[in-house]
Amino acid sequence: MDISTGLLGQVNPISALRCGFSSLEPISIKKTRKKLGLKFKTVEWKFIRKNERNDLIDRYPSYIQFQNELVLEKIKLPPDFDAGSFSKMLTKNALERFKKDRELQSELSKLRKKKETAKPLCDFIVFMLKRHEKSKPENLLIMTELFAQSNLPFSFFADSVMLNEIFGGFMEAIQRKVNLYESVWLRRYADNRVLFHKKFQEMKRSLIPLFDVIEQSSFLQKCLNILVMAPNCSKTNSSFSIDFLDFKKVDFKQFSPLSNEFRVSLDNCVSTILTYEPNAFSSIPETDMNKIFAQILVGD
Amino acid sequence: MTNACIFIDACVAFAEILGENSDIMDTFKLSIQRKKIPCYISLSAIGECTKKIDFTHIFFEKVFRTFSEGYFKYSRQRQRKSPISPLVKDDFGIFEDLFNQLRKSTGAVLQKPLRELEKKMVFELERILRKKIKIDICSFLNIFTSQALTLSANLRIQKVKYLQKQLGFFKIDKTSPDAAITGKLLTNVNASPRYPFHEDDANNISAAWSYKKATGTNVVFATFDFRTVNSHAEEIFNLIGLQCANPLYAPYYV
Repeated sequence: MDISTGLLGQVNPISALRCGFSSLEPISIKKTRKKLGLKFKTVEWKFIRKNERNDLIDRYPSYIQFQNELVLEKIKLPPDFDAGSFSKMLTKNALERFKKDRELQSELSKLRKKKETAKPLCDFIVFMLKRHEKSKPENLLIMTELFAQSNLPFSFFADSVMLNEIFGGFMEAIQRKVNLYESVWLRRYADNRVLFHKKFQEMKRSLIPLFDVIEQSSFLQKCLNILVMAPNCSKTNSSFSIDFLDFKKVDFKQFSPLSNEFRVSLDNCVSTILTYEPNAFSSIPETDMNKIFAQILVGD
Repeated sequence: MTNACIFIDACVAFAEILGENSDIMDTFKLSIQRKKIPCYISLSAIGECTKKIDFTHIFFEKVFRTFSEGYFKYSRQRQRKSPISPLVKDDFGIFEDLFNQLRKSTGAVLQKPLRELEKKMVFELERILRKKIKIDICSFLNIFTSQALTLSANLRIQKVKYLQKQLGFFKIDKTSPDAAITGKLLTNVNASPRYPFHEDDANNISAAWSYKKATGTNVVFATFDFRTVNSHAEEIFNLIGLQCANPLYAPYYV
């Protein structure tokens, strides 16, 4: 496996979710359907673009470039390192991954073009959740293999796996909130355009703290990954074919506080998700390692 | 409600998180619920929880790196075999050597988990060879590394749930340990040199003592730590007047 692909992962699911959320507005459509000879009134939604110019889906390349520039502002790379070209290459690779990700592309375009459905946003979140569950073992394997191809601390990888685990809880929390709005509030105010949009904005506002904490963690993870990757490639052009991640080459003065900041942000993520969804993260997985952990942590 | 409470040690919090000693923990929780005894964890015990999780990272890193870095390769080369070829019966000998090396450089507290990990790895190797599965050392280690990473990540999530959001049966108490009591405990409690009474134990007991002094309530310190704390319960009680007990007995001292 290519180390850089491993560390920078697939399309950032949080950015993708932001894209799905930020620039679309729902309109309600009332229909009368016949079922078993009876007439039923149904309320469904269709999403429209609220502003073509500010559509984040179309502006994904500049959004990703902005993210990468922010990362390179946050961390200091070696002076002989061409950060500008590195940033461009990171953006190029991220966009290539996005373009190649047909599954996500088609789901995003479905959200924009699809005919009215009962719970369009919820459907999109369920899609992202399923996608995350499917990719979880693969992401774990990537971290495991990277551990073997490096001398970086175990905690570095444990933190990344933690973010991966948190993401499931995050998705469940937003799914619950969106489901509540889509099935109760938006339905109730389908007749009243003003209240309908007010409720939709209220839903989006209520989700902002969740997005903010997880995006902060995702950003710090990216900073750490680039901080580790950059000194391990001698030339900018070879940055995507690293053989071994040598911790000795990493600027420890930056790594240590950034690592602590990342850990605090992860705890903050869990805490925020639990505020929304107290039943999230209900249990600890059963593995062969449970007994060993118990012997170390519980003792006698 | 009784004018008493229980302070729990870091190990009791971890038992709750990991579902360990579940029979004792269930009885303990039922007893304190019936008797309406408040249960607290001190900030010093929370600090110990963080240290212990970091400690597990160091443990796994040491074991897995011993296998993945050079040593296995060197042992294979001595047997004139390729280090990346699939695992074979002779590798049991290399496993034994590497674990013996690790045992020598590992402290007394970690001998038991090290033995447990050794058993798991040897049993897995035996299963792989019996089923004639072709697997190299890296892929073999990945099985254990991935489990350790997953569990470690989930443990930290649960730590936030129980120790930050307080979604468990115990709440956080911010009373600081009394430096004089901590010092007194460290100087006077006669623990064995093999399992010394360390500073974290002293601080956790001292925080419970401070709470007792500040509120005038009867406080019991619940811990599973027999070797360093419960075996010295009488000594500690005579010294500072605070009862330490296993969670199985702790509610009955209240």
